[in-house]
Parts: sequence; structure tokens; C-alpha cells
Amino acid sequence: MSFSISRALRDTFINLWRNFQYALAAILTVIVSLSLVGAALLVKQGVANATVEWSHGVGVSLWMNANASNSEVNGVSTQLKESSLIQSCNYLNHSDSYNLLKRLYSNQPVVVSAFTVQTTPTIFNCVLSNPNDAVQVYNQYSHQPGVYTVVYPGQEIKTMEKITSILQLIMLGMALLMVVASLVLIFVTIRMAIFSRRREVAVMKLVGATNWFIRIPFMLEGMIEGLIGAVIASLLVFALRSVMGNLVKNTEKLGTSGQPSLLSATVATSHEAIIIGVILIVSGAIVGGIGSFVAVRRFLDV
Amino acid sequence: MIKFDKVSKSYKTNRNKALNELSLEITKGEFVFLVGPSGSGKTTFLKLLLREEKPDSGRIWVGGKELSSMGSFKVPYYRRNLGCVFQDFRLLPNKTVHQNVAFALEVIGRSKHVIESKVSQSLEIVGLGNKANRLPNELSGGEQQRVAIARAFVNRPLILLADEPTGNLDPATSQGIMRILDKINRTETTIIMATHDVGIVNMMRRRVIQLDKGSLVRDQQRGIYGMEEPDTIEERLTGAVRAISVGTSENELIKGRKRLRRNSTPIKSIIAGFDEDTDDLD
Repeated sequence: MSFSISRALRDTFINLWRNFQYALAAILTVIVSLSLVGAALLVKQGVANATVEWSHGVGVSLWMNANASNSEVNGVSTQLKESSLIQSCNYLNHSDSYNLLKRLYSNQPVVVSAFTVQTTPTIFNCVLSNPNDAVQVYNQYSHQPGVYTVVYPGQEIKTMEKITSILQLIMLGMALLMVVASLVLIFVTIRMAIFSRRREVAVMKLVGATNWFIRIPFMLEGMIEGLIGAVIASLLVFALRSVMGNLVKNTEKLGTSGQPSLLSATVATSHEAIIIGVILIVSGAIVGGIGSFVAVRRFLDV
Repeated sequence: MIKFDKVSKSYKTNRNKALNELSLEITKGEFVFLVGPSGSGKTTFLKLLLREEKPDSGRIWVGGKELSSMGSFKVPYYRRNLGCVFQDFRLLPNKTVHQNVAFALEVIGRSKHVIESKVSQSLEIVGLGNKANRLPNELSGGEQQRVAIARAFVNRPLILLADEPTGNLDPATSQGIMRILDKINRTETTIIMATHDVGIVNMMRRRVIQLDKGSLVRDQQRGIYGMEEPDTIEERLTGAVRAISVGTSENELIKGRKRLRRNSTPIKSIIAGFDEDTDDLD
């Protein structure tokens, strides 16, 4: 079979141009649906990263009472040093934690003025030998004399996982609806393209053009619509990632306890974003291909 | 070349059979008129030959190939051996005459070089070499039909199917079309033409296959349109006038002119128009 690729491509773009409004609608829906899919994947990846990060050594913080005596502090310190649950600890004395407080609330002088160096609680930041022991540490130390409270990020992460999983479900559900919408729109677009070229198609059949020769330009058209939408969607996903990255960086400047930030882990790496982009582009081509294939099968009986 | 063996075909929407156990044979190079009232099965006959439809029963052979057992992927290649002309021309309005004819070769993947030479040859045959760059809507009906014939013939098909090619044209213009079909027939191309045009059938005196309600009722070499000789004066006249146009003997030509002089003006004007047309063609 002699088949010219350049001819097929030329036909495809002529079709796209003639059908511009429909093609635009189809491309826009593809963009919206695939952006949603991409964002959902990005969040999912972020939470997965955060969970991994946490299980690699995020620890617990022991907040002492501001008026805890030296012996109380030393007692806790010794216990922490001897405990097999704890890997290492970093002690922030009154002035360290006051500085941290000043840094954290630099834009709220009222809060800062409520404290002096002496009334700021001191803090032990500890790395756990086994991250799953956080609850045990909490139970063991929260009632020690001089200990105000024990903070560990387990609950935070669990809550975050819950919220994000609901968020992901909603996003994926909406994305699925939009993917169906884009399938239907591509189908309609190709149907219109076939209709507007019905005379040419009739002549082609009559003079013996092969089925694939007639079909391929229409299928390419659908795939190109899907591809254009997907490329734009993945660009949007990259943009979303860098916006998230910047937001987290700004928050980190106000950095809290010196512990590895949970937030910073929730941003997917650019490597991961590229993988998501590839997934989107492939699925865009597939959505376009399926939509146009069904249209071609239904309206181009050769 | 073509053989129908007890071919029957009916459509879902109609209880009557479109074709009823039709058997016939057409040899290479024949010129066959397919006549009969509307709904007699002429168009179905052509559709079966094109393999747009499959018979319910019976078999059709074309050039040694059996059509209903032919795989659907082979149908396009089979159709490259056929040319088709219709009453409504079916030209592409946004393409020039040249592009319309070239399109038929482009879509079966012929090289540019081949297309160029074949298209201009084909346009010369139908006498439109000088109008290659016109658009269809700038042409008269007769010229448009000639473009359609050029397109059908450009790939040198073995068989040319024509479904009422003169149905939309006035008698004089129809003459021009018939001359071209006759010219094509002389290149050993089998021509099957479905028509209601009494004058043309009577003038050409070729094989006539008459269908009625899907059955063969007459198969006559050098036949005429009706069962009997044409009897109205108009029918005789048009028959005679058309005989002249195809260029029979000079004697008959003179007779025709005499008859013409004796008769009414409208027909004279037809002849006048026709004369111009033939000049154009030669």
C-alpha cells in the first residue's frame, strides 16, 4: 500500500482548521481533565513522599515548663540520653527558644512581648531510633516532672493523609467525569469532521482508496487534539509544582523547631513531575485515539 | 467479464425484491443500456457491481473474481478497476477541474508524475483541457458531467458504470456525453449505463437489458428503449437526430436535416446547440 504520511498530516491539519471551534472545545476539556488528573497525582506523590520522610527520622519534641528547675531538666536530659528509644537529642535553652520564638512571630510583636527569655519554655528535639515508637515516648515523658507536653508528628501525618486521600478521591472523580466529557467531545468533533468531508469520503470510497487511507487523517486529528490538550495540561502541572514549592519555601523561612519539615516533603520532585507529565501526554493521546476511533468506526463505514 | 448467477437482493424497508434471481453475462468491451421503470432494480444492479451491497443469494463474478466472498479489505483494490458516473456529477466544489480528476489518483497513492500526465490526458479525452483550472460551479452541467467522466476514466478502468449520466442534462448536451462514452467504449472499456433516456437508447442501438420489478424481461442486442419501435413523432425525431450526432452515414444526416426543417422550432434550436457542441469536441 502506498501511503503518504505528509498527505495524512496535511489532511489532518486542514480538518483541524475547518473544525476549529469544535477542536478548541475538545482541547480545552482535555486540558481541564488532564490537569485535574495531574494535580491529583502530584498530591498523591507529595503525601507518599511526606510519609517516607517522616519514617526516616522525624522525631518528637519535649516542651519543658518555663519554670522547670535545672534538676528537672537534667533529669529528663539524662533519661533521654539513656533511653534506647531515642537516637539523639538537641536541647534549646531559654535564649535559643526565645530567639526561635522571635523569629517565628516576627510579624506579631504582641506575642513576642508576652514572653521574656526566662518565660520561654526550653525544648528537647529528639530523633527516634524507631519512628513507630513516638506514642511510647509520649506516654513515658508527658507526665515527667517539669515536662509541659510532648509533641510528635504522627497525628499530623495521619490527619494529612486522611484529608489528602479524600481530596484525591474528589479530584480523581471530577477528573474521571472530565475525561469522559473530553472523550465525548473528541467523538463529536471527529463526527463533525467526517460530516464536513462526506463528499470527499464518498469519492475516495468510490475510486478505491483503502479504508486506512480514509480513516487515518480523522484518527490523527483526534489524537492530536488529545496530545495538544495533554501537553498544555502537563505544563500546568509543572507550574503547580513550582508554585507549591515556592509556597513551602516561604513557610520554611519561618522555620520552626529545626526538625525536617513535613511540608517540604509534600512537594513532588521535578523528576516525579516529569513522570506525571509523560503519563498525562500518553493518556491524552489514548483519550484522543479512542474518541476518534469510535467515531470513525460508527460514521465511516467502509 | 461480468457474470450474474441467480442473484437476488431485497432491502429491509421493502417487501418486494430489488433483484429477483437475475442471471446474465456481459463480455469485455460491451456497451450495455440498463433500462426499466424506477424501482426496477437498475441502481441495485450497479451497487452490487460496485460491491456497495452484497446479494442475498446468488453469485456475481467480475473479471474472474467472486464479489460476495471477497474480503472487505480487498474491495478498495477491486474498485480501482471500476469507474463511476452519476446523475448528480458528485464533483468536489472546492477543487478545480484538474484537482477533482487528480484526487481520484492521489487517494490511491499514484505518484505526482503519473498523476500529471494521466489527468491532462483524461481531460483531453473529454474535451476540457482548456478548462482545467475552473471550479465546478463555473461550468455548465454538461461540462461538469464531462469532468466526472474524466475522473472515472483517469485510472483506465475495465468497467465504467453510469447511473443516468444524462438525467440532469438537456438532449443536446446529452449527445456530447454519449459521444464521449462511445469514445471510451472503443478503448475496450465495458460500459454499463442505467438510463431513462429513450432517445439515446434508440439512437445508439446497443445491447439493452430491461429490468422490471427485479427480473430480467428483455436482453436484446442492438436494442431500443421500448418493446416496440418508437411511434410518436418526437421519439422518432430525437432518435434520428441523435443518430446524426454519433456520426452515422451522410445520407442519414441529410435525411435528418430534411426532417428537421419540416418540424418545430424547439427541436431546431436543440440541433443548433448540439452542432456547436460537436464542433467543440472535434
